[in-house]
Parts: sequence; C-alpha cells; structure tokens
Amino acid sequence: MSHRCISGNRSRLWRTAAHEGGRARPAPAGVQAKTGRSGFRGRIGISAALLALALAALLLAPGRAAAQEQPPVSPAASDAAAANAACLTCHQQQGLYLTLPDGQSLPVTMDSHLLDGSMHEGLRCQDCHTDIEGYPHGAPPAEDFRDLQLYYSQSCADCHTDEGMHQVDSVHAQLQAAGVREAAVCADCHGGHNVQPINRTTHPEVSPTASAEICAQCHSGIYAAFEASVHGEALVSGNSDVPTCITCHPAHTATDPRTLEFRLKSPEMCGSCHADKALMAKYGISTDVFDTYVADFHGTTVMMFSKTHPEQATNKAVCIDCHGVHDIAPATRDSTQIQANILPRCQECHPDATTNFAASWLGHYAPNMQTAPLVTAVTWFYRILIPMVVGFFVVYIGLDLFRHIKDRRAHRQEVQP
Amino acid sequence: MSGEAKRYLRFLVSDRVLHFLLLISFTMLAITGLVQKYSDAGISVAIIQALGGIEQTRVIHHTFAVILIMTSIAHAVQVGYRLYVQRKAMSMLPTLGDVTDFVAAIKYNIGLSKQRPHFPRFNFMEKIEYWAVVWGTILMTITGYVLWNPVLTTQFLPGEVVPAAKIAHGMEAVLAVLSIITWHFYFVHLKLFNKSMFTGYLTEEQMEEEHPQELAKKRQGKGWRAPAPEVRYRRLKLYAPLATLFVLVSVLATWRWLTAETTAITTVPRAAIEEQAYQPLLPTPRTVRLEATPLPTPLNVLAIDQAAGPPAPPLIPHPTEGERAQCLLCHSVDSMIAPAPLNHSDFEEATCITCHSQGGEAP
Repeated sequence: MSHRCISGNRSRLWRTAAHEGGRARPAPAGVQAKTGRSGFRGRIGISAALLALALAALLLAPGRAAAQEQPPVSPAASDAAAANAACLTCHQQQGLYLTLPDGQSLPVTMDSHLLDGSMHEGLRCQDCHTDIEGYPHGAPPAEDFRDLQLYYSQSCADCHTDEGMHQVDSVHAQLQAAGVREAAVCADCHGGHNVQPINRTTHPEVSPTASAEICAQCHSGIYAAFEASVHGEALVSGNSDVPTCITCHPAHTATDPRTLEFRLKSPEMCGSCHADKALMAKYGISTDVFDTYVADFHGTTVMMFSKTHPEQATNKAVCIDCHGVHDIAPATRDSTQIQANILPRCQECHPDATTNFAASWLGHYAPNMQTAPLVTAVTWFYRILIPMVVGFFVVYIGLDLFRHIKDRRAHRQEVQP
Repeated sequence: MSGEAKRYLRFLVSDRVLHFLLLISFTMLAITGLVQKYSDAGISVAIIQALGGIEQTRVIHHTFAVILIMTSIAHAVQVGYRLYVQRKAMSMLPTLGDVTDFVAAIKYNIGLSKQRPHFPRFNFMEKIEYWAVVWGTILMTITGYVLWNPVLTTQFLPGEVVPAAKIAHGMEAVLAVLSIITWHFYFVHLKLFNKSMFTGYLTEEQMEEEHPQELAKKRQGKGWRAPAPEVRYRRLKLYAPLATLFVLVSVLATWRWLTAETTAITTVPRAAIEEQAYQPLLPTPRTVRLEATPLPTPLNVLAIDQAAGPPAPPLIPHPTEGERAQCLLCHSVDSMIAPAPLNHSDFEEATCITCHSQGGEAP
C-alpha cells in the first residue's frame, strides 16, 4: 500500500474551492490550475522541480486510473516534502496560533518532520486537510478544538474506505450521531499527525497491550477491572493469546455491548477461544466448556434464541452471568467453591434457589461416576435399555414380517393355483 | 363394509376419545420435545422457528403435557370403573399365557410350528405397548415435574436429580418414539391397517388372526356379562364419590404443579450490566485549553485574529510573466519596491503565489 492518499471529490463545510485535482494531484499544480495562473517559471530549482512533478503527475494520471488493480506508485518522500513546503513556509514559524471561536488558542506550528516515523510518512498536509486551499484559509469549520478533531477525522474515510464504512455502524459512530462528541473518532485511537499502527495481525511488532491502553484512555474503569482479571493479567505480562478489548469489541465494528443481541452472541465470543482445542491445550483448559453450556438448559435456550429471535429478550444465563465480564476470575475445579460462587448468581433469576439447586449445575466437565453417579447411572441405563428394547422390537418384527409374507404368498397360491 | 359382515366391538367411544387425545398429545410432545433435545439440528431450528420460538415451543410442550396428564387421569377413572363396577376381567395384566404365546409366536414365525398362537383379548404385543405407555407416562410425568419445578424439587432432593431427570426425560422420549415407530406402526398400520381404534370394531377375520381366544369365548357366549342394575348401582355409590375425589385431587395437584414455581418459567428481565463505560484517564482530555504565548512583533501579522478576520495578502498588480515571475528580484525583504514584510525573510520564491494572487491596480 502506498502512503499516498488519492482522494476523490467531496463536499465539505469548510471549502474554499472545489477539490478538482482528481487522482495523483500534487498540491501546487492544483493551486495553479484553480487560480488560472500559468507560465510561472522558477529561478530557483524547487520551482522547476514542482512544475515538472505537476506535469509528470498530470501525464501519469490517466495511466494510473486505467491500472486500478495496481497500487498507486509510491511517491518519493521528497514529493510530499516539496508539496508540504508551501504549508511549512508559514507553519514552521514558531508561536503560530489559531484562535478558535470559543476563544481557545490552538498552536499550529508544525515540524517539517511531523509525519516522520508515522504510518502517514510521505503524505501531504492537504491529503487530510483537504479543505485548505491557498491563503488565507478562511474561518475554521469548528467552534472548538473537539469540533476541529471531529471535522478532520472525516478525511480518514477518503482513503480508508472499508474502515470508514464499518465505523458508521459502530457504537462510537452511533453515539457521535446522537451528539455525544466524546465518542471516539479515528484520530482518538490512531492519533492525528503521529499515526501509529494498532492492528497486531498486520503489524506483529505492536505490543499486545497497545490497543487496550488506547481504549483505557476513555474506558479506564473497565480497563482497571480487565487488568486484574485472568485475561488482563496475562495480557499485561505479555501473553498475546488472551483476548484484549478489541477481541470482543472489534475496533471498527464494535456494537453496543448493552444490547440483547450482544448478550445472546456473547457465548459464541467466549467459545471462539474456549472451544479452540490447540489454544486451550496450551493452558490445560477443557474445550468442553462451550459444548456443556450449549447442552444445558440455559445454553440450549440462548443458542436457539440467537438463531431464531435474536431481538427477543432472554434472561437465560450466558457465560458472563456466572463468570463476570471484564473481571473474569480463573476457574477452579473445586466444586464446593464453584457452588458457593454460583448460588448468588442463580438467585438473581431464581430467588428461591438453594444450595441443592446450585448443585444441579454439574460444571463444565463431563459427568462421571464420582462427580455425578445418578446422572451417569441414568445415562447408562438408557444407553443399554434403548438398543435392547428397540433391537428386540426390530428382530421380532423381522420374524413376524417374514412369516406374514410367507403366509400371504401361500394363501395367494391356494386361491389362484 | 357391508352391513351383513360380522364385526366385533373392540373399543368403546370413551376408549377411542382417550386414544385420540393420547395420539395428539404424544405426537405434539414428541415434536416439541425432541427439537429441544436435538436443538442444534437444522430441522429443529426450522420447527422451533415455525412454532414461534423456543419459549413458545415450551408453552406448547407444557400444554400438551397437561392434556396427556388429564387423559391419564380419565383413563385411571375408566379402568377403575371397569374393574370395580363392571367387574370386567383384567385382560391387560401380563400372564404366564403371554410367555407361552410369545414362544409359540416365535416358533410359528420361524417355521418350527404350524400352530398360530391362540391370542386372548389383548395379545402380548398389545400388552407390551400398553405397559410401555403406562411406564413412559409415569416416568415422563415425574421427570417432567422436576424439570418444570427445579427450584421446588431441590428444596427436598439433591441437585443432581435435575440433570438426571433431564437425561431420563430425553432418553425416555427417544425410546418411546422409536417404540411407536417400530412396534406400533408395524402391528397396527403396516401388517394390517387396524382401524378399530377409530371405528371401534374388528372384522371376524381380524379377530381370528389377532384374538382367536377372545373370538372363541364370544362365540361360546362365555364373554363378560353386565352386572344387574341394582348391583351396579350399589357399586357406583361407592365408586362415584371415590372417583370424583380422585379426579379432584389429581386436577388440583396438576394445577398446583403448574403454578408452584414461576421463576424458572417466567422471564425475569435480566438487568443490563451497568458499568460506567466512559471514564477518561485525563479529566478533560479533549478540551485541553492551550494558552497562547504573545507573538514577537514581526510575526504577529500571521496570528489570525478571528474577530477581524484574516488579513488579506496584497494582490499582485502586474502580470507575472517573464522576469516578472521572479518575485524576489523586486520584492525581497530588503528591496526598495514593495518589500515583503520581515517575517517573510525565510520564504522561498516558489511559495509567493500560494498567498498572493494576481489582480488589483498598479499603484
């Protein structure tokens, strides 16, 4: 992938001119075209270089559009540097401030190496600040600093179209749409100028805790609970097998976890790791947990609900009702301890539940003669009885049918010799 | 069927009605129960969906369970009436004769004997089925009670009873359905389509085949004879109140069953887990007030004063072709002709037209 963003036309609040550049348009060329100026010949080398680049880009543009499968040619860093020189002419000046309508002063002095080392190294200022066309810039499209952040976060989707689309459905986007300005937008997690990778699947060098620490900026209470949980402890100590925030709340598609759908789907989230034999074998954890849950009354109901009526409320227990959500503690095999822990959970829905009632949950391990003699005996009783009875029926019917057919044939021969 | 053909009454209307109720409730219970036992099968999901969801499926299951229990109560009253008031023979009880019939049937079927077994009113195939239904219904009622009222049950019994009842309930259901599909379907549907449970009558031919002993008794007039009216009345005086009491107690017990426990059935709204989701680490991370430092005088021209609006850069009042494209020839900071401001001293020529556009009048 190129670092260079090639954006299409968009309409914006704070636009001084239509964004006509089209694909692969270096800024100075765009400015020239728009203002109708031509014939500017530079005495200094950089002018010529800019013009040459602009022409080269214009000539190359149709070719690039034709070969769409191929990623756009990665521009040399000097290309962006040259394009950014115009901006930096002013924005390198020390003590440069933008006064926002709310009276706040925002420092707008930028370093020419601002993007160096970030994911956006090599981008031009105008790739994101698409509304800035020449000087003066016009009034900022924001009442305050947060407004400005929200405004420029819209630029991200110009290049990151997939993420942008997903974000629309996420709980943060829904909150934004409802007017909650604190709800996270792209830059809140990824940074504004210093854009750093978070995704460990594409950037394995990223620390396992990186994403959770970003979430913690706003969700510090939940992070504190998670940090102390069996998963959080392992994560902090460098284990990348355990789930982190975005495992269950995928960054760009995270739906509201307070919904009924989320509750119904939650056992499958837990199961995605806890039913993974290879992964669980590393830690000596039984993979029966999911199957035993589904086989039980609560699990059967919840799975059926999520298949047939995901929108319908159910109070049937899911994993988190007994194990907790962010504060999941390590499971123990000590059954009396489990039952002591479980009883208050049972009583939330079954107020009259007794210790005996809690004992009716046999745990996530297959019952055996020691742990559940009655259940094992009943199971074996039927495992023997059913084949015996049905086997007897089938054999007897076979004999009877044999005789019956034989008799009828004999009878027919008697009637019609 | 011609009116002349001799036929024998086998089932009274009450028998047929009860059988019909049993047929309906058994079928519905089997369908609504097995889809829960094998809930991960695609067909189960489809059936549950068609029935209106898992909770609705359970309501239907419970409804037919009650119908089956009522049918069983009615049957018990009926049997009591026949045995005590009418003093009919206990023809459904297993006897030694059934064992000999079974051996004879096997011998006949495999060709060791040419003699058909001499079956009574209820042959051993029917007795097996009847007692299987009795056993199954009692077991399903007891285990069903446990599953319906797990909290109440565990106030008296150990917790393990609940999962054990669930396994027994499910496996007994499998056994019952398999028995019906094999034993019942073969003997009363496939081998010969026995309609007596609906019409009430068997033909002479069918009697000969299936119940020759009973047929012989009937022909000899050795069958059951109705008691004299006064005897019947005397017996009824005892039986009727007892039966009424039994029905009342059974129905009340069933009603108590239905209403004993609500928490396992009704949906207590599950409280959403209330966590304070938004707890930023910094007190106000996104509204950090940045204090402006006073700007050095030559630079303050660039500090945008929003009240006054941005200062307009002067226009270029002349064409910019030829040597006039070289701005700094004339307009350097230290030049004499319209010098650039001091803060422009580091600016390069290429950037002039970024801010200054052509236009205006020459001074």
